Amino acid sequence: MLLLFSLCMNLVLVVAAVYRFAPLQAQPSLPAGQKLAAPDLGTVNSNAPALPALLSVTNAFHWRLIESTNYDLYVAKLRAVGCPEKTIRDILVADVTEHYRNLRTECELDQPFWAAGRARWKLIRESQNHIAALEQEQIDLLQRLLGVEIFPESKLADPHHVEELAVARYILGPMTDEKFQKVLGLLARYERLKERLKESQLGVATDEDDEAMWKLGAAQGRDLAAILSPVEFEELAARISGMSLFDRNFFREVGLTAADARAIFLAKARAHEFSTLFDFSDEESEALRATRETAFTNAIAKSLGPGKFAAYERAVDDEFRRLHRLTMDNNLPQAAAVTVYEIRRAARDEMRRLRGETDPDDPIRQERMTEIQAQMEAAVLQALGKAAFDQYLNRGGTWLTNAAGL
Amino acid sequence: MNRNSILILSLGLNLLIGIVLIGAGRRSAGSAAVSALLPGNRLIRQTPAPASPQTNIVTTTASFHWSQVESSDYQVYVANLRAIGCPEHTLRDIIVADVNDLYGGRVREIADSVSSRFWEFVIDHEAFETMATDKIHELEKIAEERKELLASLLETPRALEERQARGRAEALARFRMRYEFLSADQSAGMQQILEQSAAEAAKYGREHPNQSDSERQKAHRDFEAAKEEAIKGFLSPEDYAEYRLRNNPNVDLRLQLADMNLTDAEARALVQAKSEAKGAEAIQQLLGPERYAEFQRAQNQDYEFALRLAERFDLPNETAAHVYEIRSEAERQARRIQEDKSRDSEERIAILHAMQIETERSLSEALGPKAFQAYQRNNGTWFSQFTEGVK
Repeated sequence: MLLLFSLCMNLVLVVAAVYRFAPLQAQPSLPAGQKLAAPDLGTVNSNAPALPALLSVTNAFHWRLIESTNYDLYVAKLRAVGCPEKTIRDILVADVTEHYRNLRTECELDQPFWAAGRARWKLIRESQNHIAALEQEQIDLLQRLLGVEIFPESKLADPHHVEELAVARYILGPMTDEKFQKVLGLLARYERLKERLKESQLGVATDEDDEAMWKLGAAQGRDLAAILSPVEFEELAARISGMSLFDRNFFREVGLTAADARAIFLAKARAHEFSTLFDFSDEESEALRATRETAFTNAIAKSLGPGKFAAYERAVDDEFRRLHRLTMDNNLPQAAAVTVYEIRRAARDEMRRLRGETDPDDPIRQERMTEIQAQMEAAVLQALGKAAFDQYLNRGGTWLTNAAGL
Repeated sequence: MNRNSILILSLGLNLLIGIVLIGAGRRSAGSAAVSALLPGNRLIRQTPAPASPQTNIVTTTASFHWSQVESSDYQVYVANLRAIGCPEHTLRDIIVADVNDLYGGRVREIADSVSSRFWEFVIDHEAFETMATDKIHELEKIAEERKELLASLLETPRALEERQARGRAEALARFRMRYEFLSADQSAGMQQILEQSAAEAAKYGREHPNQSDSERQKAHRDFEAAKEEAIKGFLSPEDYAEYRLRNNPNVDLRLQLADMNLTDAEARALVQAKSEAKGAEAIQQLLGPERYAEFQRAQNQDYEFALRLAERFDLPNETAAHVYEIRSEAERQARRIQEDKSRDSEERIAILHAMQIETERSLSEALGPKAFQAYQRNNGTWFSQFTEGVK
């Protein structure tokens, strides 16, 4: 009985050993009619340096058996020997990129040296068109070979530069590698479309170009929204919008929180329909700009509430920033800056009202203006104290001596 | 053989196969433990541990599968790829991408650790600066590690030789495109002279690191003179003259002549003439008055803009020339009126204002409404400023 069991175990273990140590078979098949060439025995690289440990060397294979000038064949052969898709992509992207980079350089350089004037102009245009066609060919080729859109030497988050990569990660926020790559791919695609559009303008921009650029930005927003979850998309939109902030510290100094800042920049991105996120549209009409600004202002007023909205308005006003610095330099509380700022606003509103409602030669108007000037001078002096008041006159406070100009 | 002997033999065989299978299983598990899976099932390889034992295990198999070259140890992976004859540039592509993934993961960890505090940093610049300084320091360390790892894997004498050979071939190809009048042998010889000169200058710089600026400049001049002598000696006088002309500081003139109709020989003669002491006169003599005016117009930025405008709106080049004429003439007349002291300023302003209106009408007529709108938007404020020059 024991002998029978042991013999059965022999059989099972032998089968297991054969299975474990059998050579792996190539997975995908080559295209019809294509076969891997017969193994070239004895092609082990004899120049390899001395190794700490050499796990496996085959004497039945050489790279030239898979290398081909035909990219389709090259990919098929790589797949046939079980090369992982990621490695195939690494090989192909680098190879194809270099190949097309050389073709583009050749195209740029391959012009009769002495061609000048009209002939040169024509050659340059032809060369530009050819280069654009080569770029598209490269994208199409990689798309066909690998099933993904990869753009020629995209400037976005070059993996060779860890700092660039880190900044892209930091702005985009935590996300999977796959999503990160998709977003980068999309940004690269639109970057290219934007460049193409600019090139087609020949340095002569039109209103139609602005509209096309705007549409491109909006389309990028939509495509991004399709890749990201709604929460991720909003976060990204707000972050990119917030990158343009000039003097960030003022938010904190006027009492706005990180969450307030986020709400403000999300509102800004929404008001601009996400189109300006990536600097797509430099130009917009006055009317459009005004409409968007109003929408933005209303949105943040609603989002922040009256108190914080006032703080926000102060934070983005140069006048308040000057006052703020003045009070800081003179060790005065921020409330002093707010008081002077509010005095100025009230004086300005009253002056405007007077200008709108009364005749310039009306003596009552003149009298009232003089009265306002005196009142505000006294109030500002009280808020700042003599030393800061005197400094203020040289640091943006000239309105105190000419209230009529407000 | 009796039953007991067979039983002992069978049990022994079981034991032996069992040990072999368990050993193989442990090696696989060990590899998996130091590896993390990436999309596409690539292994992230760990930096090789120093002082590995020098054991070379050569496995010979009849068919090839990529898994045979894969290893969790980069050194082994690289050696395996070299052993199957993978070309250095392909090997570099594979390894660089792989190493980028490895360090990309670490970069991601660094960025993700602070990304959630994005808004906090937006409103607190000091905190942002502190964080950025710390993280940049960490990233620099990563970049340095990455560079060192890549150098240790890829910078072998053979790889360097292959890269240099590729670089030389590319440089030669570029050289031949610029100096197509030279034969292949001449180009190769010239490349050699240029390379040698650059190598000698670099060597000199390394050997004299503490030189003053004037000493360095003198050395540079000496090297340049020696190089020039070598080139002069190598090329025929005609080829040398052409080589010199193509390196003339005025050679870019040929790229700045808008739509002027020129033969290659004329362009060459223009560059030559411009390099003479009285360049303008020489060019005038070469071209004659009419074509000289054309030559001047071709270098004018406004004309160049008008040409692009014409191209954009499918207008003939003559329209660009007409637009250029309108501007030249209007500006000339405006200057005359502005400086005409026989009229009072009010009268001059009235005339200039009328001129502005007339110029606008002429341009609009020449270009058509759409192109004129684009003209105004991109280049069109000049004609509304005539009155500003009145003193």
